[in-house]
Amino acid sequence: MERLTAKKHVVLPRHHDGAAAALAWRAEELFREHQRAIYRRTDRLFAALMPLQWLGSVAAALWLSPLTWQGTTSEMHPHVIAALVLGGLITVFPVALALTSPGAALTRYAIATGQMLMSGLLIHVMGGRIETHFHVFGSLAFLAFYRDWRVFLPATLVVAGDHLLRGIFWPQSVFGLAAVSPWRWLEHAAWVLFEDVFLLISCRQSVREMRDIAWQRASLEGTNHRIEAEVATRTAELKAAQEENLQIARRAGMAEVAIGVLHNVGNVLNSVNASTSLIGAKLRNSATADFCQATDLLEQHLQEAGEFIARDPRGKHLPRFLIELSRHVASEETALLEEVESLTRSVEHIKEIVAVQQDYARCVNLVEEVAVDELIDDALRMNLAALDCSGIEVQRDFDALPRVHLDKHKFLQIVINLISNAKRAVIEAPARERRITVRLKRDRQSGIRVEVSDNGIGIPPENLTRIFAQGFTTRKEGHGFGLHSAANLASELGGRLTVDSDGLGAGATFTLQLPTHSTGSYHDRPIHSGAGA
Amino acid sequence: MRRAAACGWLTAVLAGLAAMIDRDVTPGEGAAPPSAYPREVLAPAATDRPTLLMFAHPRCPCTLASLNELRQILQTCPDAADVRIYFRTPATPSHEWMQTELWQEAAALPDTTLVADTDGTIAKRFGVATSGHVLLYGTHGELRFSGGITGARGHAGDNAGRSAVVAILSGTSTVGQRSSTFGCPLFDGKTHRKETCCPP
Repeated sequence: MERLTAKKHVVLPRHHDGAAAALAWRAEELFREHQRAIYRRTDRLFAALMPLQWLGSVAAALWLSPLTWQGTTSEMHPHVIAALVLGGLITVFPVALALTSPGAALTRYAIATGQMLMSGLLIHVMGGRIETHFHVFGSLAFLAFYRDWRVFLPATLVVAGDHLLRGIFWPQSVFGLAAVSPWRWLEHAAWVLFEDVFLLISCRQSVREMRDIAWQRASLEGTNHRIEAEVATRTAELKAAQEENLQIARRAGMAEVAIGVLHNVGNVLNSVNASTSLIGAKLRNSATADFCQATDLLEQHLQEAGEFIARDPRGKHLPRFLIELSRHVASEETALLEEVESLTRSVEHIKEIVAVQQDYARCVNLVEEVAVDELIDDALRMNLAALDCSGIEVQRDFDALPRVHLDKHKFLQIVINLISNAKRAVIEAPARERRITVRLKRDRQSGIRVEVSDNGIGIPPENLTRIFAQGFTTRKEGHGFGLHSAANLASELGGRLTVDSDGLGAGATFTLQLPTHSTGSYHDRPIHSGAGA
Repeated sequence: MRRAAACGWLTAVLAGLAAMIDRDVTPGEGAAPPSAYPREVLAPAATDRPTLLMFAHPRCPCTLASLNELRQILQTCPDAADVRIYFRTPATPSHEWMQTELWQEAAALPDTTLVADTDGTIAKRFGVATSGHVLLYGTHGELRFSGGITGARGHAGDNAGRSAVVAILSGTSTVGQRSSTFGCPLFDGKTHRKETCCPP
């Protein structure tokens, strides 16, 4: 019956899908849950109320008719016994059900029945007082707390049955008259029905409101779930995008390093090329050929070498020629050795540059003990050729700092990025003294502070807040990854990257603040190694 | 199991209620009042109007309902009868025996005379054995009504006895009537008096 009623209110859309069915199911579940809570709560209410009214009936009986008399002797009045025993019997079963089976239908019906039986007992104990009849109507109102119209059935049946049976067997006990109309009981029952009607309407409205609330809660839950799912999806997408951006930024950072390396290698290769050209030219123009001609001439006159040198005009010049030639060859050899040494240095330089690149490319996420000033010098060296070509003066202002633990790959990427950024800023500025200042300072708050200042084009105030945003760039060929990547890397290192500029044309200062983990206090720190290159 | 327990519980409660109701609607011992007012025993207060006598046990809780019914009779038919209430007292009544709620309630009734019926002497002369019993004698001393004016023990509300008394006092009925009396016994042990029917 209840299920049918529930279905009646679950109006599904014509083309209801799984979501609508789930919503209806959830609304029904919430409604049932609310209903059970009300049943249990009202059961507990009656579990407390019924013993109290039992005690009240005993007290009333003791007050009104404590004793019954027979002449001069007395004994306990039967009403007291009835209130005590019968009242207890009426009370104990519903209360036991309310305590052991709260929320069960039988509990509600037993309570409704017990309440009406207690009304009958109270009315009787109170001598049929009209006022006591209000207990019936009060009990009905309390039963309405269940918001279950079915509890009025046993209650009304008990009242009607009580009057019917009394009308049949003891009419004077209820109607005061021995001979009354056989339908008189209906008049009494009708007053109960009268109240029932209003209580039923109230219950129906309450149930309807409960269903509305359940629907609203179910809808709200559905909305919340959808929002949570959407948030989860978006969060996952954002994380994926962030990871992707991070990889792009790292690749961009690696590219910056690679470009720097290639630039430097290219510059060194120029030297190598010049050296090899010079060596080739020197070898091609070497006096070795003259030395061969002299030795050939001497070989032709080997039998008469003394006479040839003494008398022949060519022979007379030959010793001087050989002396001069040997000196010249020695000079050439010295020059060639110098060029070869230069060539060797250039090759070593290329090797070193490549080794640095390989080192940084291989050691991702590796925290190791480093000298920060040396790392900064490496970064400067990688940009040195480009800086020299552009006529940029680099000033170093380094404090003496202890070695610290760092992921030098990330650190170098940041610094190279900042130097590269500063280089572009000063190149784009109107021609004047181009200067980049790199400072390494001890920072009281964080640990170390690396500042890369330039006197370049500067940054307008409106760009200061978004310069680290992904994709933000003011250059046509820029991607907006460099500074974003550098800022992310700074965060990964536990520090932060900030920028300061007084506006366009006023240059800019990028400050990298990093926590220090000096060698002495850093030994127990684990080294995190990531995927190698 | 629970349903069986519920059925058992309901049966027990209904049986208890039935027993209680049955006890309360079981009338007290009947009366054998004289059919004519015994002037040799007790002089009537007035001869121009009926005499209504109520016999009461001053400590019977059921009789409070009888007094309330009597009040309604007197309100319905004011000055229609000479009303006397005889409170049965022990041979040597104590103060506590006399000062009861019933005395106070009876004293508040209009035009009513309260009489201490020492050891129930008057009640015995009138053959009455149950508290709340009412005798109504006509102006000629004939017994017009004998019985109680409540429907059950201590039970207020419409009842045949009260209706009969009102009908007689208001003159709408001329026949003698009787009803059962519900109240405490006035005397120790049953007197086994047999109630006699009122003369027409």
